[in-house]
Amino acid sequence: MGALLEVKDLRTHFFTRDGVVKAVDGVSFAIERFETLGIVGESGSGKSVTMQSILGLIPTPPGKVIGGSALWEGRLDLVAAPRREMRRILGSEISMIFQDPMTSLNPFLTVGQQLTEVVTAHRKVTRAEARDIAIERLEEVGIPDPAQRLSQYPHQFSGGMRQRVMIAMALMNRPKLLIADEPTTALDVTVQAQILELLKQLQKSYGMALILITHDLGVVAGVTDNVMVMYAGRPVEHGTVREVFHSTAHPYTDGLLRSAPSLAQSRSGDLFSIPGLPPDTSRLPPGCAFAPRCPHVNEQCRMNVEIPVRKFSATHRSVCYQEHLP
Amino acid sequence: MSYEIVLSAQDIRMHFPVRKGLLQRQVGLVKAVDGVTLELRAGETLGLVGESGCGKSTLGRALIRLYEPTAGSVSICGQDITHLSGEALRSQRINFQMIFQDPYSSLNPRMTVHQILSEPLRTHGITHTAAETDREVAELMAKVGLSPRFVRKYPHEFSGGQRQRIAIARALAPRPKVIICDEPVSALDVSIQAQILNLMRKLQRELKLSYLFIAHDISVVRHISDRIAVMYLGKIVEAAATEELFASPRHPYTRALLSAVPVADPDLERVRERIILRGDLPSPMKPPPGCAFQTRCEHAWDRCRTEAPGLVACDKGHLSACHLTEHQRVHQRVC
Amino acid sequence: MNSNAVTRDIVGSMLENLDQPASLGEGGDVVAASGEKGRSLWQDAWSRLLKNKMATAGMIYLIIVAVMAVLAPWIAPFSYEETDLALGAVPPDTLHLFGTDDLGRDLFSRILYGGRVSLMVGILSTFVSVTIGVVYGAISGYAGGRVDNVMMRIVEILYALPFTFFVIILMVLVGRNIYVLFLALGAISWLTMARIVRGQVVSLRRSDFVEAAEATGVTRARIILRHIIPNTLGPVIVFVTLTIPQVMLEEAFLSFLGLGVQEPMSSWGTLISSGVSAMETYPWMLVFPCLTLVSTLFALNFLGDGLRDALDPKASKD
Repeated sequence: MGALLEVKDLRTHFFTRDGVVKAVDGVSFAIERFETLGIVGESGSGKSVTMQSILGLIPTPPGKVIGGSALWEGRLDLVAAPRREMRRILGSEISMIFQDPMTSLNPFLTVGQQLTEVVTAHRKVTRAEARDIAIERLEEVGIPDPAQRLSQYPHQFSGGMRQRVMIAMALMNRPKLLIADEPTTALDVTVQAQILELLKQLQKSYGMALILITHDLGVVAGVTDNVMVMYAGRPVEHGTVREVFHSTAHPYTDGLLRSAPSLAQSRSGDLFSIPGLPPDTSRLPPGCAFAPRCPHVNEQCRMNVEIPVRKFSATHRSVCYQEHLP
Repeated sequence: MSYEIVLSAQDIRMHFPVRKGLLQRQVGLVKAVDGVTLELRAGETLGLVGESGCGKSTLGRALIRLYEPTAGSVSICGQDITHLSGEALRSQRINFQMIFQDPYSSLNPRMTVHQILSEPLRTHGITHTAAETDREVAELMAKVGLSPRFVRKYPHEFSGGQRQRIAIARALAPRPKVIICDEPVSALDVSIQAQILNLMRKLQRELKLSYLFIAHDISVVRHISDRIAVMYLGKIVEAAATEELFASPRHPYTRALLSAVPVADPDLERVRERIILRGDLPSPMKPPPGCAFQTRCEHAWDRCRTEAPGLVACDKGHLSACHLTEHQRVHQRVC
Repeated sequence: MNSNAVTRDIVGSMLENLDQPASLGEGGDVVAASGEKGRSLWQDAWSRLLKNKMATAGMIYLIIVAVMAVLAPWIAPFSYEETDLALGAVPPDTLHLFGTDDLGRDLFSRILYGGRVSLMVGILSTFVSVTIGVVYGAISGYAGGRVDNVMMRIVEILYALPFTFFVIILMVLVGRNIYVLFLALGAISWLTMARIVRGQVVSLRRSDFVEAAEATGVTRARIILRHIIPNTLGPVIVFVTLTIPQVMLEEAFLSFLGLGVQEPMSSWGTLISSGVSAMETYPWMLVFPCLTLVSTLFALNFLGDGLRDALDPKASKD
């Protein structure tokens, strides 16, 4: 069975007054039908821009997808697809939810109106049928009294509830792939736990693939099957969640794991910190983007040649000269 | 670590009236902070943890009189500052300072770093000549790991982590004993968070500072705090030494909070049992009767719905506001 | 989705590290990526403004007009009141660049001198309105609570009054005194300025860096002077460039009605007024003053728009 979505060498650049920002600089990955993939990175890593590029959500100008492809179900290149085709797919086969539900939901429309709109835009159903579907979805995402809440406005819901509404909206047409961009970052940790539980459960019952974009390694550890770590617009490590967390291959992933204070670690002593500053993607040094901060750097890392992709298993690969981490 | 108390707050309350209508009549009261008593000792870090709406940020500001407490009293370095005003209050401010969450908005975009750092020096007469000021500013910058060469730059020319260092330097300028840190690393990337936390610990050791560390990220708080207080809807529900709190959390809310924190260990994550809280946070305008947490607590019984539990010591230095804990303590059960 | 907002969000975090001094590690081991001299937000705004061609063109045009008006006594070929009844009205020629009016007065010179009056009225009245507006708005915004409430309600009541009527009545009663004209015109436009400033002050008062200054122990006066007012200047400047044309138009209107400047002094408004009556026979008497006024107003508006974009804090690297 071919991959549900196969991304090859995606490149997105932003042409700004201050220079060319290489937001996405050669990203390749694939996701299978029922897989959960976590895309991890800090600000500037390009994790959100990658998905937005695939879905045609990059403002042009100043952004432009200048290369690569994203093959959907082995037949359609989303990057090259015309707007009309993308509009058909978005909301029905592929859905996306965002970080801040308050700005993603229209404050002037009721929740019911926004939910039914998603259905009627893609399927030929009556208003009553659409309403029924909406009620069904709200129930599935755990909102009590769904029939009543359809006529309420977004500001009448709490943060966690709003995010559930967003999830319901994304699932209206039973998509094959759900992309969640930092869905719980703006939420309290207890609410986050609820929402992540919900996503896991829905993914199973809907049989969807899930791409979870986040900077929180704990979230990734709990929810995803596979992880892709990004730095300065490029993937640096990709593997199953166990491989990436327990057999970490790339120095950046290693640094990230070690610098995040964790309940599982001892609390004495200083936190490990990655020296230096986050990368400036409009002025990347030649060679590996992480070289200025890498404890294992050597001369070849700074030369402007292809950094080799090391394969540690069928699923685990790292873009680094290191054979393994000491 | 000495046991000198540098900050002592008694029964602090912050109530905000809600007004409606042309005549601005009061229709409700938001009890953002509802009776908080705490102590901060010299050289220690007290972590204040809680989710949105618990009142921790409001409490932080009330303690240093950025907001006026509706009731209660605060003493810092032995001086009762609750009712001071004007010059008297201002002169006391050299003892306590604050670091804010957002490094992008806590620095005046139209002032250079030099101006930002020399303002506290000049306000409190710590330096008197331009040369002294320049020297002191350079020292402050070096202390937080920034090159003094960049004093003439403006905040927007620095990264988030660097701006936060400038904010820390500004807080250090009057040589305070107490620093209230309101989510100082929440707006920073993980790799920069670690740098800033290490810096803060170093400064604490060198300058014998006491921190009140307010944050919602409990892993961060655990790393830097000696003691932790957990807040819920304006009240402290549990307080203990850090290790003790994590080893044996007593209050059901603390337990749920700790179990909800994701840990960067896939094996651990998949086997741990999560306590998933039911329902939503009640509105602070209409807190539930009795215990504020009873609407979401799986152990709630009749007494919880009618009587608000007080903070009771169930162990040495370990306080919990829960009828269940008290019940267990009284009946000599595992405590 | 607003394209600028999305771009800012996507690109902002990547661009934040542009042009800043790199600092490796925490030991103060520093490598400078750029120079040591800071680049203030004003300098950023200025370079952004210069990139805006229309705004820069407007600015240059205004400078030219202003300089010519100031130098009128020295560069005007004729006096503004020197009549030549024998000549009468003649269309533009090499001697009289814009022609003459029916009393034989050189139109070009009258427009130059008229410019002095119009520009002076525009600038001075706006100065009056800025002064009143900024002070009123800053006090109202910083005081907050009931004081703010009352002060803003007063503004709203005044808004409802038909100011132009009052000015007309005032001018009729007091006589056509040019200083009264300044005050009257200034008094009309301060209301909006007060509102703008008050809005800015209210939001600035709650900003973190003001709270930080309070926590440091900075006095209230210094906070207003050093922290709040410099950060309100952006919208104030923009508003000033957009008020001046408004005021000039008001003056032109009043003069058109015969209530403005007295003969033989001219302002662009009075020139237009006399031009209208002679429109059919001596069209140049209307065309040139009109073109001058309109082009100046255009230039001011372009500059104002450009300033607004240049000073927009969202466009800066924050």
